[in-house]
Formats: sequence, structure tokens, C-alpha cells
Amino acid sequence: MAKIVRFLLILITIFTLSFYLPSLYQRTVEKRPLKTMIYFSEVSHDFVIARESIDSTTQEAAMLYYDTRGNLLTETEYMQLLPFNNRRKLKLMGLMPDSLDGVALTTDVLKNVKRSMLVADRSFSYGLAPLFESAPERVGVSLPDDIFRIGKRGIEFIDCTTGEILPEKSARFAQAMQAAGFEAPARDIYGIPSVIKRWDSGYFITDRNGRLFHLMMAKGAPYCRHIETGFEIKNIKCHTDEEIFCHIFDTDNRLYVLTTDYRLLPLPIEIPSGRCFMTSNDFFRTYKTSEKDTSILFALDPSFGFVARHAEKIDHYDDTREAAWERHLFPFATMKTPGYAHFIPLPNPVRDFCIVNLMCFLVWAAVKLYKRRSFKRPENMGDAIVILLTGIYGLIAVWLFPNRK
Amino acid sequence: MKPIWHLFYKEWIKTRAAFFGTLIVGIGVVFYIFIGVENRITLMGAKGYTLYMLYNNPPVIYYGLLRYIPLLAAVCIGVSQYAPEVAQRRIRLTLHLPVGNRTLVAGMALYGLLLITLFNAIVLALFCYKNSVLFPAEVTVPVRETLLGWFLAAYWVYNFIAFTALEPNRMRQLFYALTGIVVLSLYLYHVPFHGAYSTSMPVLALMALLSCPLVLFSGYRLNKGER
Repeated sequence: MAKIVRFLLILITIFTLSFYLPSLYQRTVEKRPLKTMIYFSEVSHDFVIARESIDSTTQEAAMLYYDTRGNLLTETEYMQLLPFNNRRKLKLMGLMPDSLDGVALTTDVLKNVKRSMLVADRSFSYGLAPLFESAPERVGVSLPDDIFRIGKRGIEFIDCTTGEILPEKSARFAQAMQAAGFEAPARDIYGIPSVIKRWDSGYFITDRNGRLFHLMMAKGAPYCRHIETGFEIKNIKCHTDEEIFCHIFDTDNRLYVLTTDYRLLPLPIEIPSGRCFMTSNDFFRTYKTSEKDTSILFALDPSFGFVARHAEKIDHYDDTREAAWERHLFPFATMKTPGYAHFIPLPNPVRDFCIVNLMCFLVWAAVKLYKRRSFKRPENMGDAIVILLTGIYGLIAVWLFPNRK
Repeated sequence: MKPIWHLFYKEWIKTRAAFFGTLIVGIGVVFYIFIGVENRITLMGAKGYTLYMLYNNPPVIYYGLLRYIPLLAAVCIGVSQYAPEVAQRRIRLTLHLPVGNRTLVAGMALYGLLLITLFNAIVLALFCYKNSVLFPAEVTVPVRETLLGWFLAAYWVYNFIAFTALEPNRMRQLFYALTGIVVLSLYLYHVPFHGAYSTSMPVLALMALLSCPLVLFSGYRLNKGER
């Protein structure tokens, strides 16, 4: 019994060490990465790169600006190339241009800048949302008295005060959805369940078969429309925008955009990581994504046509000598996944650890030899396997809980 | 009557005050939570509170007070059960009772675990009942899944209190206590949305289960007279 309990203790110790030791190591050795940012200039129609550099004499970090040919730009030149990003400063300096490509830079044009993070992985959803009035008599969005869900019985509106289902409204909307070809239950409901938006564009809902539908309430009446996609939907990010309803990711992390006139356009960009940051103004749309050690910016025109692409190598912890040591030292790490997908133990398999595992085993074996212990005892053979598999974690755990007769 | 029931009775005498005390606190906290929720519904309106609770960034974790209640119960039960005997060296007398030492230590631990299960069942059932009266299943199910991790923490804490208390070596006691506290942070997670960490439940439950026999190791070392 004591041997079984000792084995459990070793398992718990390995788990604990694999959770805390790599993060402790990383926090101790990690240095702040130097920033590298890419922008697309609406003035020069070319990329501008802002790169943080360390001054070798003062050891202070400073931002340096370059164009794509590697020419150094002054800060003023950099700001003039990006009038939307530096609107306030340029106005104060009196350097804001009156027009760009023949378009007057009015306050409305300058303020019409949209930024959004697009993530392919679906975050947690409750499957409950309020259906707003999309054609209100007064401007703005007001909160309804009920929330809806779409289960096996179709759409159901639940009164927030009483908690009871509203049969008449539910039946009316369920009928409209069935007429559009919707098959309950909903696989996912995407939308903006907030009153802090300029207007409401309803919800985008995937049905049991993964087909996409647009559901709205206009003057109290249901509006449901099927949207043909031709691919399997992974995630949708909705916007409050005059031109587009939403961005859609398919299961291969390809990105599409659904315009307000129901055109589904594939975007000429690649986002293998499934994460990108979108910025748009009246002149260009940009999508910034990053791979392991590269930041990539795609520039598209307002109608989503490809304009240009630029990639820059970025300073990343994984490329450092400390990270290489980490891969050598720890055979695996247990971690909490960042963001909204919360699993506790996700093994983080890294390579290059075999040598350290072998060294740990040799140290352990040398101590055993010195103490004249037999390797043939089952518990010692078990310890050897644990150390060979889990390296430094196993060695610490085995020494913390030694075998006793 | 079997000796195990005598053992349970001995443990009951030691822990009943702690059990009832924490149970009253636990039930009180559940009522306090829902008085607060109903008050907010009155002030904000049901539709406003529902949106606020679901989609505020971060959403309102109205049950946050429950996080430390199972922990409190485990600490009170564990300490009241083991501290007096260990501090006054009476545990050696217990080990001389006409029952096998392993059965004795396992019986003590089993009693504590059953008492904690009873506490968790009462408090969790009361909370889930009140929650289901106010909110639809789309809310209550994720909330219950999030709460489970906090309630599992009670088993981990209790097992480590027993494991540490019976250990004869001071340095090892310190090490066990530190390990228990460090791993406890995995159970007492911060909740960014209702239903968070529900996928981690099997691992947390497995760890709590694995920690159950640890007390036997300390009991074995104590019995052998290890230093």
C-alpha cells in the first residue's frame, strides 16, 4: 500500500512541477521583446515599419521608422504617412492634409476607422440572447423583455421577469424560421447581444446541419433568411457596419466576409494561426496576423481586392537562447490555455529534452550505484522509467519520496 | 456494533461543532447571494440584470462568495479532526486501539470525506435549487459546472490537512503543506464567464481522488516511528 501511495505522490509532484517549474523558469529569464509594427500608408500606398531598437550607448529603447526600401523616416514623416492613426497630433501640428486621393478628409471620414480582433476559435456561448428590434421607430437599440434560445423544439422566447416561455411569439418566429428551411436545434448563435451599438443587424445562426441563417426582428415581425456558404463554419464575428454584416471563418481558417447585400466574399489572405486584427477606413482595409516569428500585414481595398502583403520578422521568446534551454530542460509543461478556452492541463509537447532526461537518469543511477542498491527491484525499475519519461520532474519527485524498506 | 462505527462516533464528537458551524455559514451565504440577486433584479429590472449577468464584460459572477465556503468547511473539519490529537500526541493512543492501523487511519479519513460530501451536497443542492428558480437551464448548467471545481477543492484541502497533520517529520510537513497550497490555486480559479473550467473538471476530480490515499502514507510513517 505504501508503495502505491508513494507512486501517487510522485504523480502529483510531477504534475505540480510541470505546472509551476516551466512558468517560473520563463518568468525568471524572459526579457521584454522589442516591438515591431507594420502599417499601410493611405498616402504612399506602401507599408511603413516601426521598429523598436536599443541604443548601444545609452541602452535605452527608441522607436525607429522605415519604409519598405529600408529608408529611415523621421517621426513627422511617419505621422504624415499615417493620417488616420495620428489624426490628433497632425491636427495640432497643422500638418493634416485637406484631402487624400481627391477625397476631402472631413471629421466623418477621419473618424470612420474600425478596429476588430478576429479569432477563428469559438469562445464560450450561453445559447441565450435578446432579439432586438432592428427597425425601431426611435434611433438606437432598446432591450426587449425576453431572451431567446433555439433548442430541439425550435426558437423559444423566455420572459425575463417570470421565466416562462412566450408561446405566441415563439410559434410565430419558429414558423418563419421553418419556412426559411431552418432545422432546430441551433448549433451556434452569433451576434452582438448589447444595446451599446448604433443599430441592430440581428443574429447569424447555424442550424443542426451547420447551414447559416440570418434572423432579425423588424417592426415586431420575424425575418429569417438562409445564406448559402458552401463551407463549414467555424466562427463568426459580427460587426455594426454599413457595408458588412460579419467575418466568417471556415474550418481551414480561411476568412470570408458577408456584406450587407448578402454577398459572401472570400478574402485573399492567409491566417494559419486563426487570429488576426482588422483595421479599416474609407481607403483601405488591413488584416494583421502573426506566425511563430513573423508579423504579416495584408492590405485590401474597400471592396476586398488584394493590394499588398508585407512580412517582418519579430522578436519572440521562442527564438531566444533561454527558450532553447527551456525546450532542453522540460520534457513537457502543463498549462492553462490563454483566452477563453479554459482547459487546465494541456500538455505542451516540446522536443530536445531527451539528453537532459538521460542525464537525470544517469545521475540517479550513479547515486544508486554509489549506495550499492539493486536495479532489479521493481520499485527501482519503476523509478528509472519515470525519470526517463519525465526527466527533471521525475528525478525531483523520486528523490523527494525515496523508497524505504 | 462494528469498531468502525465507534471510530466514526469518536470523530463525530470532535467535528460536529465545526460541521454545523460551517453548514450554517454555507447556507447563510447561499441565501445572502440570492437576496443580492433579487435585489438587483428589483433595482435593474429582470431583462437588464439578465443581460448584465450574461454579457457584461466581465459578466457578473453573482455566486463568487461561494468560492471559499467549501474550503472553509474542509479546513474547519480537517483541523478539528486532526489538530487536537496530533498537537497533544493523542494520535499514538488512537493507533493503539484494537483496530488495524491502516483501517484506523483510512476510517478517520473516510469519515472526514463523507462529512465534506454531506456539506457539499447540502450547500450545492440549495444553491442549484434557488438558481433554477430564477434562471433558465442555459445559465444554471454552466454555473453548476463552474461551482463543481470549488467544491472539489474541499476534498483536496481535507486530504492535505490529514496528510500533513499525521506526518512526523517537520520539514516534510512544511513541504506537503506548501504543495497542497500551491496546487489549491488550480481549484480556486477566477471565473471570466459562467461555465469556465468545466472542461477541467475530470482532471481536478482525478487529482482530488488521487490525493485520498495520501494520508495512509503519513499514517504508515507515523506508525513506523520515522523521523
